[in-house]
Parts: sequence; structure tokens; C-alpha cells
Amino acid sequence: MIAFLTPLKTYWPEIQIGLGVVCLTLLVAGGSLRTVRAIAFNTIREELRKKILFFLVLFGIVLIVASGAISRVQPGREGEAVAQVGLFVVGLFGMLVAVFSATTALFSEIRSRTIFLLFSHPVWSFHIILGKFLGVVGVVFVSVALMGTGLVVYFTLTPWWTLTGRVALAVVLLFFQLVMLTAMCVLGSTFLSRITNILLSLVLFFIGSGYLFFKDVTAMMKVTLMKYYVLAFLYILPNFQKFVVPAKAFSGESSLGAVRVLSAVGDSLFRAAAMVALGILFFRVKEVGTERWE
Amino acid sequence: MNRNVVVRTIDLTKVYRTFWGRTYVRALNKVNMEVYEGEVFALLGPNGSGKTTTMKLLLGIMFPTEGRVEVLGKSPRNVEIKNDLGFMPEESYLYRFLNANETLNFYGSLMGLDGKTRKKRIDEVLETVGLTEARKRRTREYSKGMSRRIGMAQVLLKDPKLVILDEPTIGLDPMGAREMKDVILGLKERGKTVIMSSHLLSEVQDISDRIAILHRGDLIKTDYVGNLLTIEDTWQIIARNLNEGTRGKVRDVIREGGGELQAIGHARESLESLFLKTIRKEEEVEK
Repeated sequence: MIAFLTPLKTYWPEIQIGLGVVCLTLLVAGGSLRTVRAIAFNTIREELRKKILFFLVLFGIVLIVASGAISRVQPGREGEAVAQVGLFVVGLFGMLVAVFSATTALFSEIRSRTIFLLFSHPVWSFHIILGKFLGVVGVVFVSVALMGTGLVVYFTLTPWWTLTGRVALAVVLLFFQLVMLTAMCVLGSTFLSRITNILLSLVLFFIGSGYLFFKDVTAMMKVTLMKYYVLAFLYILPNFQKFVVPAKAFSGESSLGAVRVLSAVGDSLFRAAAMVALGILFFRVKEVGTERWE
Repeated sequence: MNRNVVVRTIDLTKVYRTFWGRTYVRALNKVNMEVYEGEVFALLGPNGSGKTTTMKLLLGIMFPTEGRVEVLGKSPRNVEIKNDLGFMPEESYLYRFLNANETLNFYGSLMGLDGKTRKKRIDEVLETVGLTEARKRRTREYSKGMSRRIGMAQVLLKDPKLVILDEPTIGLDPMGAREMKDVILGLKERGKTVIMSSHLLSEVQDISDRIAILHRGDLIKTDYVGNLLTIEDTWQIIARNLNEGTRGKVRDVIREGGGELQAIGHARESLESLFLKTIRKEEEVEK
């Protein structure tokens, strides 16, 4: 059994990349379907017309620009400090956009009962879930692209312009981290209430962001059934930490590595596709409109 | 008469349960009914009788607890029938961030209409429902009546074989209600089947061919409106320009024939008809 698993373990990054490419192809193919595209664009339009999103992104950009002030705290490592703070801001605000948009997308459709009209048209459950997911990914893309562009432009204008390439790559990785988070929230919205979904998504995101810490803690646990439960949970839980570029990569002490980046992207796409597929299955058997009978 | 059945329910039962699986309410109880092609079929009943539940089951939004539903010969979950089915909910549930044009464009794209056809059809239906002027206004700014019209516009955009209308005239002023009724009758003239629910009995009487009366989930009665409203042992004479002498003779003839005269007096028109006549007259004077 272990001998069988060895090549899997050896080539795991390549396998993740392959799976990611397959999932990306499937998502793009799904997104090109007319119905999915219509629902996705409608979701993007709905979210982009909300003023709260605009202010969130604007506030994020202001914070990024203001992060220059932090450079004085670490003399000699100013560029790294600004990169870390700027990326933290992009990640934090991107996370807020992803969680609130993804948990609202399906919920608002059910609450406002526009879903009744959707179901009176030739629309399958998978059109709705995939359309909502791609729509929120579009919104997250716009938000991260705006804040990321702000950060990259800021870096090109500073003495730390040599870090621009790495900062841009880190922003791309953050985007793929948020794609996975979006998929998790969309999956949650098929069977959880909105508040529970928001809370659970935030909790899982924070645990997943400290993935290595929790893995180390679990390793120190005594061998009990609980340890195996925790290990199984950590195995299923998306590793959000994988997408955060370490400080060493900015100081030049370590390289980012193309395989590592591609493996992270592959993992994100594969897990996102798996969660969306699960969401479609749950939504297929979900009854809407049962909260009131007439 | 052998007529095509468009909708058929067989022992249709819907039970709402709590999270723990306990029966919460039995919304429909073994309902058997058939709706024929080209007729206007009305579901009547007090609040909580199961009208909207029936409609949700017909749309495939909910699943029956027991029994079966067939819409256009197939399961309502089958998307193949959805291009032949139009639905206007009780409140026109609209995307508040879209305007009328964008709303219809969205539904048109779900129907698979190409851009050119979509634009042409949208112009036509907006004209039909009288919203051409307001097409660029966000739907959140619409009055209830305008929302109902946009709800009807998305039904007309499809040109479906079967139209399901939940309380089609609720929230409309008498003129709007009359226009809505005309649209429904127009659909019937074009051979469409219409299923509607309503609390307004006069409205149902005016435009329905057959009705089904639901009460606490049970189907109590189904028949043609004419059959249900006919009182077999009572007759009505409608005549113009009767003087007192003639009225006296009518009374005598009835008495001599062994009948019992219950009332003789001026015929009355409905309040709706009076209202519409008055308003139209006023509008003509203004013109």
C-alpha cells in the first residue's frame, strides 16, 4: 500500500498542477455555457453595484498607500515590511469581499425569491451554483486586481521596486487562496444559514491560515482516536497558509519556486472544483420556498 | 370531449416537516386534478389552503411528499419543459439592482434567445405591458403595479404554452387589474393554458373556464364556472324598459305558474364596470 502511494507522494506537486489544469479547463468550459455566464454576470453586476464593496476596496487601497509609514519600524528591511503589510491588507479585504459576497450570493436569491423565477426558466441546479461561484470569483478578481494593482504601482514608485515581481506573484497567489475560500462559502450556502456560514467559513479560514501550526500541535498529541480525527480534519481542510509568501522570499533568503506556486494554484483549483461539485449535489436535493406555505 | 391534458396531479401530497422530522403542516392532501390545453384554470381557497404550494410543486421548486405531478407530460424538474412554461409569482420578485431592460435581458439570455431576438422581443413586451418609458429605471423604484407588469413581461417574453400566475391582479388599481385580465384573456385566445390563483372571486368568475376550490390542503370541488354558479331551481329574467303594469303582470304569471317571486327590481352593474366606465369617460373628456 505504502509502495503504491510513494510515487503519488513524490509527484504530488505535479499531480496537483495536472488536476488544477483539468479543473480550470472544466470551470472555463462551464463558464462558457450561456446560462452559467448569464447568472455569473448577473452576480457580478449585483455585487459591483453595492456601495459597500466600492468603499471596502477604496479603504484597502488607502491602507496600502499608508503602509509606507510602517517602513520606518524595520530599518534596513523597509521593502519587506511594506510588502508584508500591503499583502496582509489585500488578503484581509479580499477575504472580507469573498466571504460576504459568496455567503450572500445564493442566500439573497432565495430570500428575495428571485430563485422561483430562475427555476421557471431552463436552469439546472449546476447552472445556479457554478454561475454564482464564477460570479463571486469575478468580484473577488476585480477587488484583488484593484488593490493588487495599487500595491504593485506603489512598489514601482519606491526604492524597493526590485520586489515588484514577487509582490505581483504574491497577489496572484492570494487570489487563488480566495478562489478556494469562495468555493467553501458557496458550498456552505447550499445547506447552512447565512450567519452560520459566515462564522464557519471565517473559523475554517483562520485554522487553514495557521495550517502548519495546527499540524505541529497535532503531531505532538498522544496517539488517540482524537488525534486521527484531527488529522483527518486537517487533511480535508484547505491549507490556506500555502498561498502566503513568506518574508524570506522578499529578503531573497529563499526563492518562491515555480513548482511550489503552480502546485498551490493546482491545489486551489482542484479543491474549489471539488467543493463546487459537492455544492451542486447538495443544492440538487434542496427544497427552496418551504419557509412559508400558502 | 377529448382534450389534451397539460397538467396532471395524482394523489399529490405535500407535508412540511420541522428540522427534527415532525409533521409541521399538511399543505396538500392527495390532490387529483387535470388542467386542459387552452383553458383558464383558477385555484381558489383561503390563506393556507395550498394554492401557492401547488404552484411551487408545478414549477419543480419543491418536491411532493407523496404522489406525482406531470407538467406538459413530464416531471416539473425537467428543464426541457421550462421554455414552454411561464410563471409570475404573487409578488414580482425582481432583482432590485437591475432596470426593466436588464431584467428582461437576463431572463431572455436564460431562455437562450440570441442578442438580436432578445432586443426585439424586449421592445415588444415592454410596449405590451406599457413600460417602455420606464425601461431604464431600476426596479426598486417601481410601484407594485409596475413590478407586476414587469413580472408579466418576463412571462410574455417566452411565449409559453402554459402560464402560471399567482394572484395576478393583487396590488393593481382597477385599471391595471382590467388590463391584466385582458392580457390573460388574450393568452387564452392565443391557445395558451393559464393556471392562476386568486382571492378575488369576481376576477376569477370573469376570466376562468374552470375552478378548483382548495381548503386546508384538500381539493373540495373542481368544475366549470358556469356549472358551479348555476342555481338549478332559480331563474333570472333580464329585460329593458318594463313599466309598472308589465312588472305586475310578470308577478301574476309567476304566481299563477306556482313559482315564488324573490325579487324584481333594477339590474345592477358591477362596481368594477362602473368604475372603469367613469374613469374612461373622464379620460375621454380630458383628451
